[in-house]
Amino acid sequence: MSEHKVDLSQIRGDWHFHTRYVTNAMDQTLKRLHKTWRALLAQAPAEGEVPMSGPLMEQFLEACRQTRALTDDIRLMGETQPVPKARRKPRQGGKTARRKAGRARK
Amino acid sequence: MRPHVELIQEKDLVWHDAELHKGEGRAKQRNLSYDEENGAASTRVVFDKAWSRAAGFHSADVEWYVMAGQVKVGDRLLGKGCYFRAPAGLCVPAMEVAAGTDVLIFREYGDWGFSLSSKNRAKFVPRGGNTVSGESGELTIVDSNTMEWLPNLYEGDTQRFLKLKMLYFDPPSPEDNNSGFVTVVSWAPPGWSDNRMVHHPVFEEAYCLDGTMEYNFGTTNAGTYFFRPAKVKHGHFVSGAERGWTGIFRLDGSLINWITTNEKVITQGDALNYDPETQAPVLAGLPVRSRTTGPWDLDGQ
Repeated sequence: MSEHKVDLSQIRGDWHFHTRYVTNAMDQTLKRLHKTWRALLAQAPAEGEVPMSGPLMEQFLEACRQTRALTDDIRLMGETQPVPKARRKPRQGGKTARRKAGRARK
Repeated sequence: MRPHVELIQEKDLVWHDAELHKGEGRAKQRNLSYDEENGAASTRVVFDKAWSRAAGFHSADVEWYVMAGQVKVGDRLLGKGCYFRAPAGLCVPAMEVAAGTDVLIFREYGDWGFSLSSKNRAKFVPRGGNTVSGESGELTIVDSNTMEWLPNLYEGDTQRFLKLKMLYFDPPSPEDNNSGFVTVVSWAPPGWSDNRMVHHPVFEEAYCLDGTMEYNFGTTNAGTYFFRPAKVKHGHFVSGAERGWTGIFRLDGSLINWITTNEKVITQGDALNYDPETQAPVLAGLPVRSRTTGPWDLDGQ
């Protein structure tokens, strides 16, 4: 194990490919999390409560842990996002600048 | 030597009496992988009746992963998702298992032998059969339900998006990747994929606990299992769209991913008395399969 800087180019696909994967994985996991929570609410043992234990609660807690784990990948994608190339300033005295200056004199 | 098993569905296998010697009760086991030379094995064990055993030590490094029910080790109560490991020769406290309990039991570097004893086999008990550590072995007990999923630092950048919970880690020697031992629960999140072929210097074994994954050896879902000797290529992974894939992995050393692309197998020869289109011989070295997983389409061979 090492803590070197992550190099995602070792896997196929560009940054957008990996970002789409992370987005989909989070989306699917959140859907499962909400579905399980709704099922827990439907099993309310008393008003305003959900069952505090049982297989369904275990499923919900696991979905929560998985959701949190996927936030690591969101951070990773944020840290590895390519910096957009800066637009180059037109050169002083270049062709365009001379043309503009000529137009202004007329 | 364990054979290359990939891929089987354990429901296809026959039951045997469980190899849990010196215990009282009744249990049965399915042999997922068996080393007929040294007695090492990976088994699913179901306890038909309550089972108990007094304290003592195993002949092998032994790991239990609880899939359902309850296991008591000394005063620790283990439920679904809990794990314990004891190296060969280490005294394990008295155990009790509830009827109906369902566990995976892995034995390494030894057979089913168990000696009743209130102390260790020797003054010094090593951490395991493949260890380079000078530290004494100890009883490991872990509840995976309370552990966080970690990024897959273990496999480096090439399979970075896999998640893992480390159940047991015996570090390898810096000079020898094929030393030490690793047992993890791994989760491939929904839609995780890797289109390459990979092989490692160490064996890799996994039992699927939940979800699905398509890969070159077929579809792995709950109850499917593989034992892959070192240097066998595998890959072309796509994990299930809804839950992904979760399984328990074991490795006899440090996992290094060696990557192959554009793989192909070329066989040459002149067919003297058969039709090479319909009667060609198969290549030797095909892995063990079971009914449910069916024949291998040779993807990634």
